[in-house]
Amino acid sequence: MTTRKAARYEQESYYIASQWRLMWRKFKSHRLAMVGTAIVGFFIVTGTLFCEFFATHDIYERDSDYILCPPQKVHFVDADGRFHLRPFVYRLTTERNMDTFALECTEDTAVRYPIHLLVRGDEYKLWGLFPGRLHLLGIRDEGAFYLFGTDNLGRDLFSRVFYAARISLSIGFVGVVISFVLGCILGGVSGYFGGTADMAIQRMIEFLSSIPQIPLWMALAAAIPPSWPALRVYFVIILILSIIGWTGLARVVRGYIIALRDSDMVVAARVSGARTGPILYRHLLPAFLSYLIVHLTLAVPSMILAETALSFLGLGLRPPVVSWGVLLSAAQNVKTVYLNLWLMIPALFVIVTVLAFNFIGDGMRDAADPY
Amino acid sequence: MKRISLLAAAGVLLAPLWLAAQLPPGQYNLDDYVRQTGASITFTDSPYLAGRGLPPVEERLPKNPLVMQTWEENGKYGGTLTWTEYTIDHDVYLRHLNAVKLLEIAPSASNHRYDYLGATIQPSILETWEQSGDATEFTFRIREGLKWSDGAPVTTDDVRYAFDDVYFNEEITPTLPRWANWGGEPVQVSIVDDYSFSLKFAKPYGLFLGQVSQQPAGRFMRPGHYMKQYHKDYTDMEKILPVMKEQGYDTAEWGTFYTSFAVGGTDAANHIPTRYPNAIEAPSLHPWHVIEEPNPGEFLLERNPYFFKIDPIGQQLPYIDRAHRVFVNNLEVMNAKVVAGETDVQFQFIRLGDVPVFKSNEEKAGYRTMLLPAWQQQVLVYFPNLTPADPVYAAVTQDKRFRQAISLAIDRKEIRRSIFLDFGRIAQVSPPRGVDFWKPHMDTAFVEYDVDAANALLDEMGLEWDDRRQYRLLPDGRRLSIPFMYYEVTPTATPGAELFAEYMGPIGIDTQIKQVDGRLWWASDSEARFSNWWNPTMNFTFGPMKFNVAGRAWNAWYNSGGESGMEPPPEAKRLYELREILYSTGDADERRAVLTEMWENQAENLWVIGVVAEAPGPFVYDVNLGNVGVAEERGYYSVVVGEAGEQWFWKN
Repeated sequence: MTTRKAARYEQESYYIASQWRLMWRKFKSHRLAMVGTAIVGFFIVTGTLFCEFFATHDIYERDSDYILCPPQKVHFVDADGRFHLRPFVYRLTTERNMDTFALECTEDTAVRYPIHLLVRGDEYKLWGLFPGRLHLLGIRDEGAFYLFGTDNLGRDLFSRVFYAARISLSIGFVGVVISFVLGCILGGVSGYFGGTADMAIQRMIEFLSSIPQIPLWMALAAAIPPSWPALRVYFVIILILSIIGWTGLARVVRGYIIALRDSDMVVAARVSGARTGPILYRHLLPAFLSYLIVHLTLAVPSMILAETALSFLGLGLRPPVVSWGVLLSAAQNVKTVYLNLWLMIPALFVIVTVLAFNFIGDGMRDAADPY
Repeated sequence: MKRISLLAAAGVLLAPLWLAAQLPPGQYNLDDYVRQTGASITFTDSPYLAGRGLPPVEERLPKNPLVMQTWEENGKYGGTLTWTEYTIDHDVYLRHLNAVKLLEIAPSASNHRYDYLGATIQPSILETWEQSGDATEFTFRIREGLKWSDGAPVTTDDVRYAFDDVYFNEEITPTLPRWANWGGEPVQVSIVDDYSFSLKFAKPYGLFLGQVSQQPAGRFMRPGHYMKQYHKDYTDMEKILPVMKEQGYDTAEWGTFYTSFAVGGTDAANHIPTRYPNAIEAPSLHPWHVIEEPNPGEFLLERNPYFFKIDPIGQQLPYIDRAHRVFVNNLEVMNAKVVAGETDVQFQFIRLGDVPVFKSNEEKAGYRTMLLPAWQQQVLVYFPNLTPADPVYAAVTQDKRFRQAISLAIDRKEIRRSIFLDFGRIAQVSPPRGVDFWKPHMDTAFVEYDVDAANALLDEMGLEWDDRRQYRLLPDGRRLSIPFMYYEVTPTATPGAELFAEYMGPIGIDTQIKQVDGRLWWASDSEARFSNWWNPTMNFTFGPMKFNVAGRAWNAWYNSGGESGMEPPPEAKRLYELREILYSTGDADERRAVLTEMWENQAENLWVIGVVAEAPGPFVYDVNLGNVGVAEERGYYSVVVGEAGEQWFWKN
């Protein structure tokens, strides 16, 4: 009895559910998409929003005693075989190897540094506004704590990766928003009004997409005066990426609008005296909104990859700004491959993020048409 | 009885070897060598040349060839030497591996090379040399029977041709080089006989022999027999024009066309085919000459059958028959070739910072890495543009307190550790170790890391802080903002720039790093900017002040006789005067006094700011290459090793 009742309730709620609710249901059942959402959510919280708190160090602080140290091992069991509930790292000692002249880090198993939550460490200003000293992870002793190792100036890679996530992800989001707005407006105008506007916009799109992408980026990026401050360069890079990014979307929007503008519902609305604006917002846009959302989720990773590629080639962001691309461009040498492989860790973050976005996009596509 | 005669016989046989071992390392005219060691020498040559119908080796060598002492052992013939070059316009390897100079410096455990710094001048192309007591007249003798690589004899006709038809031809040489116009009058050349000639200058030129020891054949002699076919005084323009047209030269550009042969070179850039394409065909005196360019920038070379040096048992040098220059356009590709063992020798442009990678792959790829004195006394020196066009900035950068403050704000210990792997010693730009005009404070002036003292100096200059105490302000209220502009002139340039910008923060100087193209860097010299550069070992040939990079408007003023550029302040002018005396004087005491004053001037004014002196440079060579590895224990400087390339050989 109860099961049948529940089943009926289930069915009823299905029929009366809104489109959004249905989409969410469908999306929830897509496992990979949920994993992707969790990962992206994690990066947004740890990187984009609160990287100051999640990082363990100030990213510009150089420690010349620990240059190019490999990632430090986190232990639970100490050298005597005793188990500790609180994870710890050993003290690191560095010594120049007089055969290879590399600075070598070795663990000194006599000194343990337990890892604590919520530790007071390097000062920072959250979002450049609120001063703070609290970090999620850290050690309370004076000593080395480099979970992802250090770079050639002795800077903590762990912290740099999270700060880089802020820049790289936000470039993805902001860039997508700009190209989304551009794409919707220009595609909408082109599709709804047709005629000369359509002609002009479509030719412009063709022109933009006929230019090979890398040389175009290079030309635009080379035009950025090197004296500009890092922040302005950052916004210009976003603009460059979205100027190229809107064209595909505009085409699709135009296609949908052309298909729908003479449909019964739009004709009915027009006959009842609705003006152009409301017709677009209330009737046309919702009809292909699901598609737009899918497009958005899939566009973010391509923006992130584009920034990484540009910065890797030395054309995008430049030090001292840290993005994943900037970190990777510092790792493009023979020495990294042979001796300092951990400098490639940012590449893992790029891969995981891009995959996560693609999973979400996949889930969205399935969920977008719930009926 | 029998035993004694055996011993005696052994003694007679071994004595030359023992005596040869007592001679200081270097090269000797054969007659001197035989006289000093009692060795008897028969000439032999490489089988590589067999079957070419060449005259026998005795006729190809000069009457009195040059014996080059081998560093480890006498080698054997054969093989190809391969190296990788990555900058097309430097051609460092071609210039040093394939080098031959008019006179040469005996190798010694130091990184300074000139006579007046304690090195010994030895014969090379020139057999003997003589300097008059007042250092105005110099007499040289070419080795009799010396031949160009095509077999034509080298005589004073080639000297006469070089001076009368090249240096004193206004179309080819519109302005005489400084050395040939010493004292404001063209040098007087007198030809004594077929092999001897002398040069007379209008005023004393005490530095001249030291300079000659750095110069290729072309400074004094050009292969007239070959070059006359392109010289319009000897050949009708009708015949030269088609060749010029083919190479894209205009009729009026004959002078430029002629220079494109650069035979023997107008400067040290001798026989560099990438710069002077026509030099490939022209005869030379080098150990190897170019025979083919399979790809742009890639060269195949083979031995010069008429090369004038022999080893101590009479084998004509070089030992290695062929040379192969591989061209890549990226340092990382060069590094990859090193660790893969695809190159036989590399010493220039590879970085100290990459030594750990090289070291860790030695066994696998079959090479060795030595750390030798680098050719730069300091690889990383900092300086502001001393002559920016903006007068407010010029007043700041020309104030010595500003430069002293910058020097105090640099954490040299950190730079030494992160860029120089703890090598070298912390020092201001100063004379090389072991010279008699060195004083301790030349090394230690303003090298301590003291941000407070630096700030105090800037406060004293009246550079106020802004309201947020973040940046300093210029007297006219603008923010003191000096970009750091540099190009990758040395491997330390980028990390050096990054650290410098960090050090400027605490003393309130807004510094943004800009890496620019080399050509752009040289083209612009009017903006206020910081830069980094290197400082060579023989610094004072440019002057300790390096105004050629740091104060180019002063240099322009000086070179134009005050017509253009910017007039230097008295303390900088004094350096120009001192340099003038340094070049002229033949008196050792006066020279020492001048050098001391120059370096004390630098220690006070910090025209360029030094960081770490005498950090070594890596030298990578194939484990089978002989007469190279001993350089490490002898402490030879990397270019000295490179320039002894003719005695390298393949052990198996």
